[in-house]
This record gives sequence, C-alpha cells and structure tokens, in this order.
Amino acid sequence: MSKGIVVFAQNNDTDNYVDQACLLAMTLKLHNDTPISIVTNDTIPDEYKCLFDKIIPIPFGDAAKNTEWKIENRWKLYYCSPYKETIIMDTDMMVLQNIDIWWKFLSKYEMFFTNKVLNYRGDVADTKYYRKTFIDNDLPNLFSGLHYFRKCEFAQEFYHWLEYVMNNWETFYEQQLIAASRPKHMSIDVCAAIVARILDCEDTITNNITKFPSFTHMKPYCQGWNKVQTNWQDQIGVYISKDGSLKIGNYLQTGVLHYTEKDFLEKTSVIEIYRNLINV
Amino acid sequence: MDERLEKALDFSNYMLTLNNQKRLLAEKYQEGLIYFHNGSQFTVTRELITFVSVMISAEQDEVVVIDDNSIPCLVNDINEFYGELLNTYTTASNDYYTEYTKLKKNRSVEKLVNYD
Amino acid sequence: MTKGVFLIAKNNGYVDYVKQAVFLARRIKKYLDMPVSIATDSVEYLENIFGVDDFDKIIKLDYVDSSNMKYFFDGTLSKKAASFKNANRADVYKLSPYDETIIMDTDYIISNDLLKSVFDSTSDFLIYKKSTDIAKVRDEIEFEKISDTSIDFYWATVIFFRKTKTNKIFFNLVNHIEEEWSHYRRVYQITSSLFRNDFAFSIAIHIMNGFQTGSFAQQLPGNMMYTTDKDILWQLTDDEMMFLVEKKDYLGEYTALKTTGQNIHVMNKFSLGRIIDKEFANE
Repeated sequence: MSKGIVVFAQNNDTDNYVDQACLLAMTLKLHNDTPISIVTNDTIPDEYKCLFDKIIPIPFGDAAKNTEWKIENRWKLYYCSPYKETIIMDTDMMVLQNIDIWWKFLSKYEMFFTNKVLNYRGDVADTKYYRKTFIDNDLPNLFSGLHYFRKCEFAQEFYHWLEYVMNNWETFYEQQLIAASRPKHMSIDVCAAIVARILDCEDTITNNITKFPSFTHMKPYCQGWNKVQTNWQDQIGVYISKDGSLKIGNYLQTGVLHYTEKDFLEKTSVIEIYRNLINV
Repeated sequence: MDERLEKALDFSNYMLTLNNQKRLLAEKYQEGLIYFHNGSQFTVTRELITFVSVMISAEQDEVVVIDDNSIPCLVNDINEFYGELLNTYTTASNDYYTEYTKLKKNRSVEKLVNYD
Repeated sequence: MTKGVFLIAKNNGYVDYVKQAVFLARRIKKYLDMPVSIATDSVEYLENIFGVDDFDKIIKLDYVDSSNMKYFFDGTLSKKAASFKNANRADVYKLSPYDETIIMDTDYIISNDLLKSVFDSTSDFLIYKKSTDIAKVRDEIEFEKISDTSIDFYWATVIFFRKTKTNKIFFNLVNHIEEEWSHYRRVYQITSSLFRNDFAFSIAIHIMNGFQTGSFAQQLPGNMMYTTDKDILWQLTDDEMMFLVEKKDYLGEYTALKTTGQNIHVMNKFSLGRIIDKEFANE
C-alpha cells in the first residue's frame, strides 16, 4: 500500500507557508524515506521542488481566495492525496526523528487523530487555555495538525461531512456549540471535532493510552510555565547544531515539532542548516 | 474575643492539626507498601496483587512484572512473591488502620501530637 | 562489595554540622545498621569533643572559608546570615571508602530502615525527585523545576550510588558544573547566583539523560519529606518527632505536627542543634 505525507500550503499576504512546507520536507528527508507531497497553487522555489514527491494544485477551485487564514480548502486533502495511506501535517512542523514505526500503529485505524500533544519537555501538554470551546461543549479533543487516513469508505464519509461542516461552519457552530464559547472564526480542529461527534466515532479515531503518534505543540500556554509571554521564542532559546539536532530551552527535541510561530524560520538558521545537511 | 469565635478558632486549629496528621499517616502508609524483590522496587497495590493471583491461577511459574521505575523484573518464584506482597499489604494496612483509629479518638491538639 | 553511609560536615561558626553528623551516625547505626564514614574540616574538634567511635573512617578535608552566604532561619521570626559551605560535594565519589554509598545531609533525620533496601537495587544511582513539605502551607513549586522554564529538580540531600565508570563521569560532571557555575546557571535560567548542589545534580542528571527526560537517575524509595528552616523541631523521642510548622498567613504562629517512623529533612539547623544537645545531655 502506498504511504506518504501530504501538506497543504497556501500563502497569504504576510506568511509564506510554502517555505515552511519546504523546511518540513527537508527535515523529513534527513530522517525518513517517507515521500511527501504538497498541495498548493503557489510557486515552489526550483531548488526545493525535488523535495516533494508530487506537487498538486488545489482541486475544485480556491475556496480561500478572499480569506486570510486559508483553511477553507483543507477538506479537499482526502481527495487530492496520491497515497492509499496518508499522514496530513501542518506546514509549520519539523520531523526530528524516524517515524516509520508510526505507520505500523496507524495501519490499525481507518482514520486517526491525536488527542493529546506534548510540550517541549516531552510531557503531555495542558491545552486547556486554548481548548475552551472543546471543554465547554464536550467536543472530542482532536488535533488536526497531524492526522491520518486510509482511503476507505469511512474516511471518505468523514471528509464528506468535513466539507459540509466547513462550508457551513456558522450554521453548525450555532447548532453544536453554546454561544458563550463559540469561536468567531472557522477552526479546522473544531470542525473535525463536530464531524466526529456527528458520526459518533471518537473512540475509533483516537487512542487515550498511547502518547504517540503526536507532536510537540509550542503554544506558550501549553508549556507548563507560571509566567507566560505572548511568544514562546521570547521566553526560551532555540539552539540548532550543524547535524540538525535542535534544543528548545534545555531540552533536546525529538518526534514532530510544531513550532507555531511564523517568524521561527527568520529568527533561526534552521533552513540554512538543513539545506547543508541534505545538499539542496 | 467573642466566646463563639474563640471556640470556632480552637476547633479550626484542631481540624488543621488533625488533617495534617492524617496526611502524614497516609504518606507513611505509602512508604509501608513498598516492597523490594531482586533489587526492584514495587509499591504493593490491589491491582498488583490481583494480577499476580491471576498469573498463579493460570499456572504460571514465573512472570515479568514492571517495577516502580518502569524496569521489567523477572519473578522466578511467583508463589513466594505473592505471599510477600500480601504480607506487605496486610502489615501496612493494619498499621494504618490502627494509627488512624487512634487519631480519630484524640480530641485535642495536644493528644494528636502526643504532647505531654 | 563494601557498603556504607557517607556524611560531609563543615562547620561555619553558627551551625555545628559535626555534632549533627555524630547524632545522625548513631541513628543510622540504630535504624539502618550500616557503617558510617565522615569527611570533615574539623577533625580535631570531632576527636576531642565526640570521639571517633561513631565513624568507620574519618577523612580530613582542608579548611576553606566559603564566600557562599545565605540566611539560615530559626523559625519565622529569626535569621542569621552565615557561610554556606556546600562546595565539592561531588568529591564524595573519590572520598567515599565504600563501593556502594549513601550520601546523606547531616540534617536528614533517619527514623526507619527504608533506605537499607537500596543496597539491593539493580540501579546504580538513586536520588529523590518527589518531595513532600510536611507542613503543606507553602508553595512547593520551587522543588518541581530548577526554574520556571527549565528542568526537573532533584534533591541532593540523600543519594545512593555505586562506584561505576558511568557514575564517575557523572560526579566529574557535577564538579565541572560547580566550577563553571556562572555559565550553567545562566544556561538553565537560574536567577540566584548562590550555588546549590540540588541544582548542580539536577543539571548533571539532565545532561546524562541526553538533555531529555530519561532514566539515568532512578527514585529512592518513598518521598523526600522535609520541613523548612521556618519550622521548628520541638521534640524528638526515638522515632517520633514533633514539629511546630509555620501557620499560613499568620507570621510568628505555628501548628503542631507529629511524625512517627518517617525520615525527615529538618532544614532548621538551629532547632535540630538544640534537640541534639538535649539528647546528648540525656545520654
């Protein structure tokens, strides 16, 4: 069965998600043989095209033309993935170790969402600060930043519902969420959680016992700090050595790192180091 | 000071001391449940006892048990191990019961801390 | 394999650590039935005042004045500034005459035999990470991490180790961290410049684990139970200790607390000294 990672990258006026996706592809190449494809209408720099297995244009038109966050096309990933088994990742991620063993675990599922994320110390993160909507509405605690599907009837149904919910998010928010904690913008995590509730499939798409597959989530209020600043990069240092090993604060990072802050690429020499490592 | 308030404060002092002593007794109980076998440390729990009992019922002679430090330990004589677990549990629990009962009977701060 | 307990005692003019060591050695003999050795910079004082019978071996340390100063409290209303002679604790690896050693602070009062079993442990290095403030009125967060954004806190109060190549590397690393303290305290975001062995050992453990949470250091049995120097040890009879612990929000007031058969780290060295004097007077 063909397996691969798919990442969706659509630039807006301020953020270059394609560059982030290229870094993700570089990190993947260093530790893994897994192919990665990119879904984008934006231009990929010539020197980075070789990093990707396939470069796929956004199908069925661009539903995010006039929006800032560009998440409206995310439901299409099921249909444009060229693989039988796919891991979807956010662009602002780095893969810091070999994750081949995850495929063995994931192959037991038709779809899988991680429902717990880690902090930079490797502990399961307390995400309550960011998950008020989920807590108040008893939604499944899904993180779509890293999820898996196998092409099958169930996954297709899930994505069909996801399309419907995302295209009518305000209506579904009104129906499913209490007013006090109803987000003002569409969130892919909330939409996926609503779909999981509608299909009553939380137990079959998550695992409460295992810590992996998951990712290190660098939102400031998830790190277990008593005093928190707006940006985590203002609170602790990032150190990258020439062999690509990365420390945040005093902790060596492994697994998948979701750095979350858009200026991470500018503030660190990570792209240059990885370019040297994989000769791109 | 108003006598009612004084009595309330006295009682609250007593409760503070009583709760502290109960807490320390619970800590002591947890220490009493620690059992060492072949260099591995186990905290005896009802779950551990039940697991070993199930292994005995399944006619296993030896079993691998994960210790408090997440290190696997091969137990060669499962029946002896079971006996020691039970002994540790009952000794610690009986002591806990005895001390706890004494604590409940003490009606003053001085009696709680044995201050003569 | 030889086994024993090792103590370090360096008096500072206010606190008699040698006296504490003698007292502790007798309790170790009683509850753990283990030989005790001591390294001290006050050998003559020990020999003349207490005699040498309590110790298996006595190792002489050079007398060095320390610039490390801190406040030593005696309850909530009294304190003295004195030198904190905590340097070179990591030398214990080469100083200890035993193959298997428990290092213990002299203010760690033994009242049970729980630590005896560590000599049978399959792990070569055991230390306390989990701790309990028996008063439970203070914020214990300072003993969870060495600083808000940094690593796990380990207590250097009681440590078990075997003489192995790996442990030699570890103790040499602690020495190095102590020598380069001004660098390491910045790297690990520690705001105070006061050197503490707890911090140095915590950093060394983190490094030995490859800068991640790991299994280099395993847990000693039970919890590190402690009182601070704002609490007072009031009475000690056999394995029973009575404390007056500071009362939350009531400066100068205390709550009584009794422990039975539990090992307690008694940080108020002045009250401990008074209790020891009473004990020695009764002998």
